[in-house]
Amino acid sequence: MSVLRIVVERSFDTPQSDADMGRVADRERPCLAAFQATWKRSVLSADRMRMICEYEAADAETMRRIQREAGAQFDRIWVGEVIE
Amino acid sequence: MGSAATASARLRVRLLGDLEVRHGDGAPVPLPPSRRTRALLGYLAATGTPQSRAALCDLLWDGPDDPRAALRWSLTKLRAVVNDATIEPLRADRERVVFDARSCEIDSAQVGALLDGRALDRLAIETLEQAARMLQGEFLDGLELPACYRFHHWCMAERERLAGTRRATLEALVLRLAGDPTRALPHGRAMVAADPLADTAHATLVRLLAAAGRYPEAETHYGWARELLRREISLPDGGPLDEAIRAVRRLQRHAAAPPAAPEPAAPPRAAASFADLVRPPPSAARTPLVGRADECRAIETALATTGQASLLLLVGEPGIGKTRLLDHLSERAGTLGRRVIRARCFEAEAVRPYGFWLDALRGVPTADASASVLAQTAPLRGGGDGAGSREQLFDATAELLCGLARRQPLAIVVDDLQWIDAASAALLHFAARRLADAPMPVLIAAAARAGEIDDNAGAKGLLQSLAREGALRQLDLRPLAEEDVRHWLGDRLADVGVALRESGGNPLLLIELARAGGAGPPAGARPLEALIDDRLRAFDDGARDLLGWAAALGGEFDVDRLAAAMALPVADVLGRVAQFERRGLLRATGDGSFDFTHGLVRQAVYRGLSTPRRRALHRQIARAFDAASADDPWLHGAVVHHASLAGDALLATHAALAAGQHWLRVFANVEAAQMAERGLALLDELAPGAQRARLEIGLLRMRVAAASAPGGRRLPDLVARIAQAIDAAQALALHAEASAGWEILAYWRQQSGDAAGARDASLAAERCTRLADDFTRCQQLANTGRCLIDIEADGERGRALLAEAAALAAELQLPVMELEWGRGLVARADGDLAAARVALARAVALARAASNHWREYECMLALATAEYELGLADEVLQHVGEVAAAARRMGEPEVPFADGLAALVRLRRGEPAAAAAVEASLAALRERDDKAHLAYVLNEAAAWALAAGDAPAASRHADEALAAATPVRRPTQVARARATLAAAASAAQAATPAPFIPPRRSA
Repeated sequence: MSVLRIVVERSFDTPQSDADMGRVADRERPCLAAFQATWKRSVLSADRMRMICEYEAADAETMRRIQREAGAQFDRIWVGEVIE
Repeated sequence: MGSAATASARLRVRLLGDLEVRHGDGAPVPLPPSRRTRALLGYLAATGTPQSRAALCDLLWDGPDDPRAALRWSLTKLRAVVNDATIEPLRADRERVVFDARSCEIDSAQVGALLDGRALDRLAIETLEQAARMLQGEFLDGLELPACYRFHHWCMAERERLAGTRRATLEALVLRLAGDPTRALPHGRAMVAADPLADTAHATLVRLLAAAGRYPEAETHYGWARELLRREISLPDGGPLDEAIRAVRRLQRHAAAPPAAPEPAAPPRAAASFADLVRPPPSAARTPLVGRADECRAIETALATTGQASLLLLVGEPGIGKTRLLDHLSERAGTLGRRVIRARCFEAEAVRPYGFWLDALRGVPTADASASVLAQTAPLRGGGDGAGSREQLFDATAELLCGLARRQPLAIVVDDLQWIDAASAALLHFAARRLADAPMPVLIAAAARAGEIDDNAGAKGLLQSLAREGALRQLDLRPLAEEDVRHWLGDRLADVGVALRESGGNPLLLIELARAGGAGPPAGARPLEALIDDRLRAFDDGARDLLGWAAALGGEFDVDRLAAAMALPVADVLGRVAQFERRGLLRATGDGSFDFTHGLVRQAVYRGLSTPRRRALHRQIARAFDAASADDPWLHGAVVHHASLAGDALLATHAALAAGQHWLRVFANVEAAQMAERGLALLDELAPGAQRARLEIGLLRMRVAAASAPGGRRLPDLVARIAQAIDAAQALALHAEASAGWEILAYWRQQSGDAAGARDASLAAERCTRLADDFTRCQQLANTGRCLIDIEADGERGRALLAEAAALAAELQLPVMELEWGRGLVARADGDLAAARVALARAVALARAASNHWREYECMLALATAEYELGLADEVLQHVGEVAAAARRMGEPEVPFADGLAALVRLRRGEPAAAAAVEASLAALRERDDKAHLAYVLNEAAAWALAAGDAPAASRHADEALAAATPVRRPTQVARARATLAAAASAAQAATPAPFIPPRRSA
């Protein structure tokens, strides 16, 4: 059975600290709840300047709204299928 | 466990080269074909210590197969090789494996025993030669096993260690055999064989060949080696190999020249011997102290003085030798038992208050300092907020220095005093006065460029004050005299007289002339810069790239920071830096930092960069420093410097604010004021908006705070600017910032004696603060309510929140963008499209004023939708265009829903291509995975199809709309889709003729 995920790609000008990411997560949390979306996991590059986040949400546009409401920076959002 | 073997039956294991095992004098024993098994033997023999089975498995068999079985198999094979009737060096139990090397001769161990950790120059030549023979082979040649990474790294480390031992042994042999070049020659060849890309090895061989009377072979080898090194490692000219051949050629010329007339007694030059040839030539990093007898006497006198703390100032032009004399002074001071505290100052563009002390106090012992002194000096020693006032900071620092002076005499050495920052100069002056009473002698020595001291108010004030107290002695450094130049570089300059004229007796220029083989600079060019430019041209682009980065950094640089800025591994950068260190362009300054050997070299490199390249470098450096400034706030000043040079006004202004705030905390008030003014000037490059307004208020507050602190200057007239900044903040509803602005104005009026004006401003500040709190709450309520209505999640609660926000906004008498947006959505949901239009238009205007592109985009889209539903076609098309512009400002290239609205309007108008445009927008919405807007456009298209009598098309669209609207929970679109489906089904049924039912026959 395939699992769909909404993938958010992010890149930053400077390496992100844990505090930076925590602040964004704090703003994002209520938006996720309001739109009934769920964060699944994130992958942060070794240089801390790129990140991929996976969510479950109704559609990609919902995730775009959430990111903008939370003021979270992103480059691209697309729908993908998890293959394990 | 087993008897010791007799000498003839000893097991001989060769690890240096191909692995080989012999029993006594017998033939080599065939080894198992498995490389891992051989590697196991090599490891056990080299380490000679018991190893656990588990560790050996991890070392060589870390994989899914059965490693213990593989180990057992290998040990079985190896026992057959190394054990026999007389000896059993290889033994194992259930847990451990041991190779008893006592019963063996292992060549790597024998080398270690021969050299025995002693200095090589104390060993007999025969011992060195034996060791060199044994070290010829590569350790466990061919058994690297890259797949077994633990073993691989151990093997590589052993190879490196033994290769270093071999190099050192060969170098020692060559030096010891200086008087017998024929005997030394094989060792010189071995050096080249061991490291064919080391130019020093080739240089040694060239000199050996010449000394052995084989000059033509020396030339041949030089040509071959030069080509090899140029091809393989892009070796530039002017290194040890070139210097070796020049020395050899000079000796050949002297040998061939007719005997000269007898000369009067001159200082004897040592006969050209191999020792002379082998001794490395002078480099900038180890420049001898030449012709400074008077200065050295003055230094000795100063170091011998036991009176009050005094300052010895060395003054001269760039390159005259000031730093070299400070090196000599530091060495002499250390020899005489003084503790030396030394650092240099950097050019004022990269402002870093207390810069001298931050570097000088690094690593200073603090064991004897009290806890309060340590706490108060923490900001200058690597962290912490430190003292409560500038006086406490200065007192504590002086006490720290006095503490050092209680144990031993002190020497404080300051290079490039002309660039000292104001805070460091003030602290140095304070410390000098306090150290006058120190129990042990204290000497302060400084070097400065002639003519530049007067440009630095802090340095000038310090020197004038010390001069008045009779505590200053100044030495003006003169050019070198001809006899000194002849003694120092006579064998490297074609004509000493010409060189002296060209250089003006400047040592730096003389070194460059000597590097160039004594040839002068091109006619018409500034001599020193031309020579440096020539040297730099010899490097390839990659090498010059690193120099460019280093030059852009602007001063002493840390290798880690350079690597971070260049986004390269530290090891890679360190390798390149070491190469330039060998070439005399860079020098180590301690603690992992490097700098150009002279500021003029750095300037020449920087000058060679194009303007776009400089900006790009500065931008990268600014960003790297900005990221690091979270842990090191002293970097903010550097960020301002580099961001300004990169043309990034926003980053520079942010950094200016951060820098000034940090400097206020450490009482560098003059620098904080300067930084505030610099930041305020940068604001003119920023677009008006919330960001600029916040920065302006912050910088003005900092400027006022710096002026009000001790040491601050008179406050410039900023009233008008403060008032403008307040107005801008209020217009953008930035109430917290406006409040801060009023506070600044209140302080200003108070200082001006306007008590009533100060009180009014204070009341205004308080009002803004309350506004800020209530306004923020109002915004949050409106935002949440708006969001709930927009996504049709909980309309009742959303309306309640908006009502609460509206009541608060009415009290505050302030427009709130989210409230207008929410009102518009509520009105649209209630069917009052005219009211929705009005509210949404107000929301768009407020979002634009706040430069909030995303909200502007969303409100504009909602407005266009309301106008579409009102049937205002022209207005829809106009606003769709504005939506696209707002989306582009947000970074969104496409607006498929807005395109869909425009297509639907055209469809209503009956335009020919409208249907295709609708299909295109549907495709784009599917691609974008925007289900809510897809459902809307589909429902509209379904309604249009139904009205046009195309029930099947209407059903298809409504079906898809229902499928899209359901997962995103849009009940309105779900209801519309169902209604359309029902209507379409009904329409389809009405169009279908009823089946013929024959009448029932009567019985």
